[in-house]
Amino acid sequence: MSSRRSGAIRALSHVVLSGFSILCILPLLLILSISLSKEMDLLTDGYALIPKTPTLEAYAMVFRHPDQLLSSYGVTITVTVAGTFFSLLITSMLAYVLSRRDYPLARKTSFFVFFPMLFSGGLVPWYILVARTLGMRDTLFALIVPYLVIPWFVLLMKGFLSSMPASILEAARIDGASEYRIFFRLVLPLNKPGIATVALFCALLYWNDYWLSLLFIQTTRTVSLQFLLFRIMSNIDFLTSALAIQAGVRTQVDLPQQSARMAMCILAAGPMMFVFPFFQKYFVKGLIVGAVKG
Amino acid sequence: MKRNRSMHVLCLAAIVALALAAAGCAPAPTPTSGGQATPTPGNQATPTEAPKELEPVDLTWYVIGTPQADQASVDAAASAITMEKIKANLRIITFDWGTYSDKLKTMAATGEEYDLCFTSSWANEFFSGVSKGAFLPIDDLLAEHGQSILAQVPEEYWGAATVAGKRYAMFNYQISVAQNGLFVQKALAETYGLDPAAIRKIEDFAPFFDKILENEPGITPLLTGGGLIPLFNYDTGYTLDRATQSWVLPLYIRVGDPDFKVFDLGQSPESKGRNALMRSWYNKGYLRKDAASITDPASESKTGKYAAWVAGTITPGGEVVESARTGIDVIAIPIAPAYTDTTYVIAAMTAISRTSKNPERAMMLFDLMYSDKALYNLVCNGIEGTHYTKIDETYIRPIADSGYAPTTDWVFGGQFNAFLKEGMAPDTWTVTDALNKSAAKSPLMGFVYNQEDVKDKVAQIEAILQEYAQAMATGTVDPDVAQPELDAKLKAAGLDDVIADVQAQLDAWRAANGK
Amino acid sequence: MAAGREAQAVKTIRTIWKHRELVVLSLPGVLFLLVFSYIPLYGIVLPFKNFRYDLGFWKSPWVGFRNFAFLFGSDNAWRITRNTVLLNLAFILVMTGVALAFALMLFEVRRRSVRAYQTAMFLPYFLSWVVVSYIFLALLDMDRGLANRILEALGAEPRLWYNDPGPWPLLLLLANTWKGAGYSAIIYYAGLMNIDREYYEAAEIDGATRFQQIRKISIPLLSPLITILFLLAIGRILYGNFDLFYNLTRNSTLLYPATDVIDTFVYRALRVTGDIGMSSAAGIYQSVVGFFIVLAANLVVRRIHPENSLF
Repeated sequence: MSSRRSGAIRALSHVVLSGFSILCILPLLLILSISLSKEMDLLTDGYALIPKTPTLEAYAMVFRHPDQLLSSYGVTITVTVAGTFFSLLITSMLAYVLSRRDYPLARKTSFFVFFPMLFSGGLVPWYILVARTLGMRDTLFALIVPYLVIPWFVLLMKGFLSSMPASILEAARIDGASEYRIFFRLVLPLNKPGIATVALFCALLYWNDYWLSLLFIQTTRTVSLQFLLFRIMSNIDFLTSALAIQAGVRTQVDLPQQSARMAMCILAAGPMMFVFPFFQKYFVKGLIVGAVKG
Repeated sequence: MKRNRSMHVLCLAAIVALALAAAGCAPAPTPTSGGQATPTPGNQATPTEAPKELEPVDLTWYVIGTPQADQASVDAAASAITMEKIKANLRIITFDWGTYSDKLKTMAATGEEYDLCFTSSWANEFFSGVSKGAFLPIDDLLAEHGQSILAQVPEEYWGAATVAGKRYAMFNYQISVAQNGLFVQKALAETYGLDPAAIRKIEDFAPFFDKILENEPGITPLLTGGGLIPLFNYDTGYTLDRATQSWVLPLYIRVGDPDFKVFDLGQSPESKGRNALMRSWYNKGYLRKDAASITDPASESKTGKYAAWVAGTITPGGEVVESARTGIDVIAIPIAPAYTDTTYVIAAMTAISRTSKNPERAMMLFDLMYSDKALYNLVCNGIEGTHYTKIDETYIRPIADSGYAPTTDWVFGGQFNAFLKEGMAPDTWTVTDALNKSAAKSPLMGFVYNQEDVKDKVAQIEAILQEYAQAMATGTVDPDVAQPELDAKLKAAGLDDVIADVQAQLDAWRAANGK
Repeated sequence: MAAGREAQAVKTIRTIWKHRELVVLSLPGVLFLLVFSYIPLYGIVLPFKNFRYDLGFWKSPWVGFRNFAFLFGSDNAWRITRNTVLLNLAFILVMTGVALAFALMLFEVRRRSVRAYQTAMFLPYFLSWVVVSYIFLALLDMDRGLANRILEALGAEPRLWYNDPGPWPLLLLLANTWKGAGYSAIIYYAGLMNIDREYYEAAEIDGATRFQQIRKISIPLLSPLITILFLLAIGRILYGNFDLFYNLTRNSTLLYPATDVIDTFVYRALRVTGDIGMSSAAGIYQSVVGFFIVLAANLVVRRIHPENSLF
């Protein structure tokens, strides 16, 4: 292998790749540094990559009233775990059926799944359905259910499952196994990389979402981590806007300090970073399979 | 709104058929049934006079603010009072500052059922809500159940809540007067002999600022900026009056002009003089070189690096609040007389939703906020002993980190019924009330400009002004260069059409109201 | 005719019965889409109505195409379409190029380093756009941002980043590439891993240089994958990434000339004006154009690589 690698090209590759890797990590370090800075230093000197006076004040402040933060962790973790599980189950069942070339309705069902990617009735009827007809407003269901079947994930999963040799399924069927048995005992275990890949996408979608919260959440106990962050940001934008300043609202509200905002960011983004390495092995393998079959 | 799939509406004739068929199976999505079915107030007038006969109902009330951890216990305590008096359970839901308007608009568009909501010129915008049909007209309800509200709110305010002859919201009576001025660091004012009584206009600060520049290195004389500053913010001196409700549109009339002629503020001698003054101040170093880029002056003022900063508006007791907020002792120095116009009057209002199932009860509840001091203060400050301690009959001290401290009395009703916090003058409310009533009133009070016909032009004009306003108001750019540029862009964006539109509506209003 | 149709129906039912177990497996997903995607389709009437909250869907007056006239009458339509198409085109081209380059480079280095690079390059992909907008603010804040502090240290004038549309197309391009390049690179890298080693060994024996191998083997063999991903992206060219355009620019009005895209415009129309009819009209415009582009893209994909066509 090594004989076919040219030294110059390899050196160049290392330079470019490590350069980009540093670019990827640096902004996170900046956020970390701000979260560890003294507030007055930030106000007078601005942001820096290395805190002038390192301090844990911001974290202490965030954790002084940990109730909201802890409950938001609870919400986000529950939603991510439950959402990913059920989403995977439904998605893979549907995708498996679509991947069966001998199923006469496969093509029609595929179009049925694909169509909503292009057309929707818009926000208003959808909101009415979720919030009023199904009565999910202000419940965790509103944060889980709307994302259960994402057509794009179904098609992705279909790509993975299509790569299975038909002979294996044929053999099982000859042995008299039911479709359910084939699916749960054979198809799922054989497609771990693909499932891990879709699982990661699902988990990311749920973990990073604030949109459903923005629409359906009304009380503090159902506020997720990302929504907590989003609210802080949108409050700052609103309260420092001309409208609010001139209405005299700004001075009545104390916004979180800059260092505390960044500490919240670290706390919200952190867990996903630790989870990723566990996924990484399967994830890349899954993509390799997926890349061949699209 | 956000994700593609939620907004990417539809297409094609074939799909219409499918959609209609699908909608036929949908569980009756008729968002407005609540509004349509609303009984007229007259039908239920009799039972309301004898509260015992009322059916118990739930009332939902949306307000803007910071969501409170202990809301449930306060709701329960408040419901105990409202259940006894008007047979209603009260549920208050607070949405954050940044998301309130979005949420309320989505809820109105989708026909969510609720009873009361906060509305104003700056959040959950009042006139847009009325024009889209989000609120219920309240004239009959107010006459029947709103006697305490009518007693406290000045009569002449109601014109500002009236659209096409009907009233659409109750006022949250609070300070509704604007008085421009500066906050000045008290210590510096004393050291350099600044006499607040001698200040008549903003130019009078110049000698003081010179002394600061000379003797206080590291301190900038004046802090201004933050978002947008109208081209003419500091001292209209009440010779000019805004013709529209927009903070940004530069359309004014001259007070006392019998023709009510609408003109572009940028062309007035006052505006040109002001811009030239700010430019010379900027060149002298009264302002920071990057003044135009300051985004959050409220945080900036806490650093103590400025001798004076612009007060949004000066109010009775405002010095105490500002000193507490910044940790710096300040004095407030007005540079113009107090005045009031439509925008200030409608800065805090409460509307009854079109979808409310119990509009009478909603009105009774809001009237109770005016007449029942105990209930009002419970909602404003929480439960005595848990969320605040009482010092005497008028003063309270909030308990730190108690889980309930909205600090927004003005979203819940008439603020003049609120307990005073330590440090506020005992006559704060009577002084404010007197100020409201004595302040110069805009001759345009009650005129509401409807921008529907030219809204795309207005949007463009506002965007252009936002580009220039801060730079010109801080003197960062040379007005001799910037003003012609701005004029040309505004002309291209159709400012003349908007002026003509405003003038036409204003003339019609004058004719109708005999002004 | 009727008999034929009946026979057809019977046949369909037989097919379904025969595959009833598969039908059951697909049922939860199908029902879900029916309820959450198909039922709300009745919202299609909105662009043709002057929607009033108090009248609701069915009772609001019909206005024909007035909502579209409003959209196309102003210069908004041109601006947002131009921004959307040009920015997305730049995103797609740059992303494809950069990711491909990274993948080829990853292929050149040892497996162990690949893992380390992957982890680092993947980090931005994990951040939500909200967090990325905080990062941008830390860099570009007018008073305290790192960028302005560096400019000051170099003796240059600090810039009002959120006021000046000039550099924003480039900034958005950078942000988009920064966040997604690691992910896309891994996809292409995976494609490279699937290429049969024998091609390279044969080329080696023929004395081909490394660069020639890349040009003559890697890129041609990756081209189906490149084409598919490229066309899929082209199909969504009218759909801006809302988070990118809205959160990153902090919705600064001064940046609109450069950053306002269809999605942000639609959102703003709904939020600021509360004008649902008008924003739905913009949505339908997007859907129709997007639909035809996807159809065309699918047609091309079917030609190149029939198995990968979407339907």
